[in-house]
Amino acid sequence: MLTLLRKELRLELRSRETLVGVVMYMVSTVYVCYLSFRELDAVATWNALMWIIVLFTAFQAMARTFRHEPPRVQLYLYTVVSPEQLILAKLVFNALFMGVLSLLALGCLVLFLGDAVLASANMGAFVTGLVVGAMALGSGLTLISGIAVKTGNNVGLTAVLAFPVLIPVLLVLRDITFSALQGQAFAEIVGKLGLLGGITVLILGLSYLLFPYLWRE
Amino acid sequence: MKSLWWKFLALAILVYAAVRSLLTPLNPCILDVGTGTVSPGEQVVDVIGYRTHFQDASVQFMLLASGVVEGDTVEHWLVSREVTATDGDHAQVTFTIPQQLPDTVLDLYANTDLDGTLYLPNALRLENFTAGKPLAASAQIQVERNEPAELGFPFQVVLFETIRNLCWHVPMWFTMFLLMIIAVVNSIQYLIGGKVNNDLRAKGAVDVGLMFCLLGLITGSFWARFTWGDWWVDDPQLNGAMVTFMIYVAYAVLRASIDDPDKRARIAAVYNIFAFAMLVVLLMVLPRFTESLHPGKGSSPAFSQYDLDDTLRWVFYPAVIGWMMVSVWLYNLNVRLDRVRLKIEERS
Repeated sequence: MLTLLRKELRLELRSRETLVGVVMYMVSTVYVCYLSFRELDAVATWNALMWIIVLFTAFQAMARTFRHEPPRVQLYLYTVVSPEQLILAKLVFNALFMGVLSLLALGCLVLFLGDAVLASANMGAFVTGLVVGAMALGSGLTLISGIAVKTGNNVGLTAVLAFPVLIPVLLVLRDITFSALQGQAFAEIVGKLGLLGGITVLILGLSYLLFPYLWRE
Repeated sequence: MKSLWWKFLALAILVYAAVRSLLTPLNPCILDVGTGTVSPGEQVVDVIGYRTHFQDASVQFMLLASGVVEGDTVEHWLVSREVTATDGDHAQVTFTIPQQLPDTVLDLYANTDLDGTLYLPNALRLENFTAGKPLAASAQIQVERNEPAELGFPFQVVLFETIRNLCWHVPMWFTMFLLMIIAVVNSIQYLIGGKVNNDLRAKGAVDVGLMFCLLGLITGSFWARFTWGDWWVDDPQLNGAMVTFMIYVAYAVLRASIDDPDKRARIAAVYNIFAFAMLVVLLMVLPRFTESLHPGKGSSPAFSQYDLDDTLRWVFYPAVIGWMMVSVWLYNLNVRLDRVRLKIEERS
């Protein structure tokens, strides 16, 4: 399990061009937003923009989850580890990866669009919401990209399948970070965070249970 | 012939529900009150009724002001002094409005012998008066809980005639739920047993369920137009419904994009289970956590709390049962059609 995790990390670092590709994708999206908005003071718009950027970055990043392994490697993995272990490793890796990416996205947004909206925010609650949310998106997308890859690497299909599934998560996330940006206390968003946690656990549990059926061939 | 009787029964129930839901009259009610504002003194108010019989019935109008004065809830009743009915639906009612009342907004009640007890909340707003303790004692009033001579659908202020849609809109969603439950059960069975039959059933149920989902969206859209004023309203329940629709459309797209039948069945089953979990989250969990206009969600009461009277119940429940039976029929046909298609494919 740990070995698998290490393998994922090493693969990610080794195929640096795709990693750089994802980060570049995110940075250029933020930059395009900067060019079109110049300055952005409206909290609601800023919040929405941030989640749109994180969501599309997640699409880019997660679409490669299963693709960067050639079929021979997949066959090899299939013989040496159980699918449960494999999906766990992928879920943990993707969640952590998305957590880091979301922090990077936040950094870029602040760099280009200014930190005016963060002035009155409850930073602790905001960053918690952002990172937990990104991890939820990452783990949610893992199974979906697994499904999409089985249909023959249809990129469009990932979006069709994942959008509706991720919308409930996004709706909760938008509310959480919006409240945090308005400077509400941590206690006031705990209920929503709990709801988010519940949905994430549901997604994780289903991914864990359903992946073996997807994997065997 | 043996398996046909319940199909005829389903159709009969549906025809009954459709006819009753469209033709049952609404209970008599008070639509509107003149200008909507009054000031203290002798006041003549125009009361406009709907399906009422002001001319033929013996009517007594009352106004209620209830509010909190010095920490106590005070109810103050005013009784009409004179009622002149011009026709069944119009009456001029004279009230003497005192200088001081516990609330600025008055509710209108009417005891009638033909139309039952009528009620219009927040009927009149007071102008040029002082809020406070009433100077005179309240009139002693008995609001009779009369029922109209001929029972129809209950009157609700915003809903008005659109209450009929309850017998169309809500059964669609109940039916969709039934079909999606059938689908997810079959998907789970497919993953456990691997029988082609389960896959066909899951697919058939989702197909029919999608149709009912669409019908639910359309009927709901009409309802929103005539109660909330717009075809689509930003509301967690409505967004949830739309996303549910998208999820199951994605299921159909997923099936269409895989050629190998075995692989298609397996992957579709996995996605269907995932989709059902999201359906429960979207339609049952999320709207309860956020404020929603939709009845039964957020802080909005469900219709049963409006004291759904028996006339409406006797149309609503048959409608639910009828639509469910028809949906199961459609689902059976769909599955059989797919089975035949599969056989033809195997033979060729």
